[in-house]
Amino acid sequence: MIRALSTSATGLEAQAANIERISNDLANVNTDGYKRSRNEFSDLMYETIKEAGGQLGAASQSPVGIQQGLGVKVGANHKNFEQGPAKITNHPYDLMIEGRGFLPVQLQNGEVAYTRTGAFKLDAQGRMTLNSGAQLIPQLVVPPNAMGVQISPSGEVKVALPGGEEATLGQIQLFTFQNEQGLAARGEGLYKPTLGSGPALQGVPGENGLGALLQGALEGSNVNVANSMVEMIQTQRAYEMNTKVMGVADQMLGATVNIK
Amino acid sequence: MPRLGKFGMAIAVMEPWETGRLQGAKDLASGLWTSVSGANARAFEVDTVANNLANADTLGFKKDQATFKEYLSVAERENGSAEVPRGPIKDKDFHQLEGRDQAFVLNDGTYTNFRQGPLRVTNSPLDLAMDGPGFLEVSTPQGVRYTRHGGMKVAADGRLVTSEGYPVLSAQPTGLAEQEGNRVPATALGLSVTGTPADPNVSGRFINLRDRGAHFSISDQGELFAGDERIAQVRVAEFKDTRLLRKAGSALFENRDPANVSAGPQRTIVRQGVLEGSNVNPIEEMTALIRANRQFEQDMKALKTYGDLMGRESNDIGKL
Repeated sequence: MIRALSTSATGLEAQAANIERISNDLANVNTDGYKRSRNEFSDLMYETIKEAGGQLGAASQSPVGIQQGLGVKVGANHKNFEQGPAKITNHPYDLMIEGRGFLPVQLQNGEVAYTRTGAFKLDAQGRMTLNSGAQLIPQLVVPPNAMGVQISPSGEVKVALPGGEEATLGQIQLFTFQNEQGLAARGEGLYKPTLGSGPALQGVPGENGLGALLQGALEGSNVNVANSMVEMIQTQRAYEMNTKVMGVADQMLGATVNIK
Repeated sequence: MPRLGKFGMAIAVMEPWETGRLQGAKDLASGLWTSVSGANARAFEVDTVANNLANADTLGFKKDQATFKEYLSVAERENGSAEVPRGPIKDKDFHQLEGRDQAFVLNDGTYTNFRQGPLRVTNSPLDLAMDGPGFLEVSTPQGVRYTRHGGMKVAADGRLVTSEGYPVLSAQPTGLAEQEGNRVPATALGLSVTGTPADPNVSGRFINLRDRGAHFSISDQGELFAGDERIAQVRVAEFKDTRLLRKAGSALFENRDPANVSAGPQRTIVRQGVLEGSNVNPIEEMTALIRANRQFEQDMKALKTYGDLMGRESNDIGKL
């Protein structure tokens, strides 16, 4: 009976973690490049009181054993990298990846991170920079007299200069990972590789299964509001049921205490 | 109070159901243990319900049900002589009880209900649901285990693994063990997927998805394709008797009897982009919870009554 108390406590903890996850998803329903996540629960260990298949007589075995489960835990938090909807912005430095891949950026502390939020702006030196100050790799410097920037689906960046000239600034590369779900989210749409994700694999946009680049568009959040709301209802009710069990365990303890 | 002393001794050395036999048919307090066994059984039931409800949202979870049986002392039954009633027959004539009705509740077993859980569409290509009685076969450090939680991932070294990091096995050897040389060993990456049993029969059946892109399709027989190329067939194991499976936590089941694996044609349909939820039905669980709670209260009432009777026995009989 004390077990029921702690078992339902693990249930409460897991459902609370789920509500936190859902609230984070819903809070980011309008965050460009945000990827929704999913908590995967798994049951905890079992206390085996009696083994199934134990000998009952010369020729008979007990068909079932006694196993008492001890609750639940959050087994994994799984990011879903499904494509989000395209939002046309017509801003020349907005890049959307249509398909797999991440854009590499250099953080202000020199580290490399990867993102699908391609909302770049130009800084004072003409470099393509994210809101957080992270700069696109390779560093592309747009000359101050550029009339327009053209980024091809395969990542080639060209500028039109006065006098009808055209100059190629560089080539944007995309990166993939063997296990995208192993990436560590760093906030601001940035991800860092981990031992679980494997090393970053470089490629040209649009080739070898990588997504193509789309200039003037951004990838919206892939949060599905209807699904999240349904999950929220389920989680809330599951939480309530666990508190009910806790109440019952408490009543039973109370009844036991009050025998005398 | 010699009786009470004897009673106290019995508590210390005997199983509850044995005290009844020792006390003899006429012992008033022996019924006390019947209600204790009842209360214990109900508490066990609440524990089971608590675990089911805690896992109401756990993928691939199968609910447990506690089963109870009546424990009767056979010797006490046989001692009763048949008494043929004379005159009009009354109810009590059929059952010569006189304290020989020492029945206790014993926990007989927990029975895992393998009813299909609800299928949820996730559209994630590596989510598999078993529509039917099958289980995925996975390799854990403790040996081969079975699961119906089909949320699979590709590990950093390219192996197809479960959420917990255990490699998913294919039906036929994939020859991955021989390709060991061109892979990053999982140990070097510090992963939890190092559970590689030395058995080549197991490690030879790992599924390698390294450099295969992200577009996988899985047929309803579990065949895994990358583009047009057939990579492997995910092993779907079915059992002759699922009751012999033992829960190992993390939605894993252990099969102790190799002969239990069914060799017949696969009846399970593998569904891609779908996950199987928990088969816990909240209505059933809440009903079981209320029932167990009330029965527990009744047992406690009976226990209290026996306590009162014992009090009168020890204090009031002497006054006569």
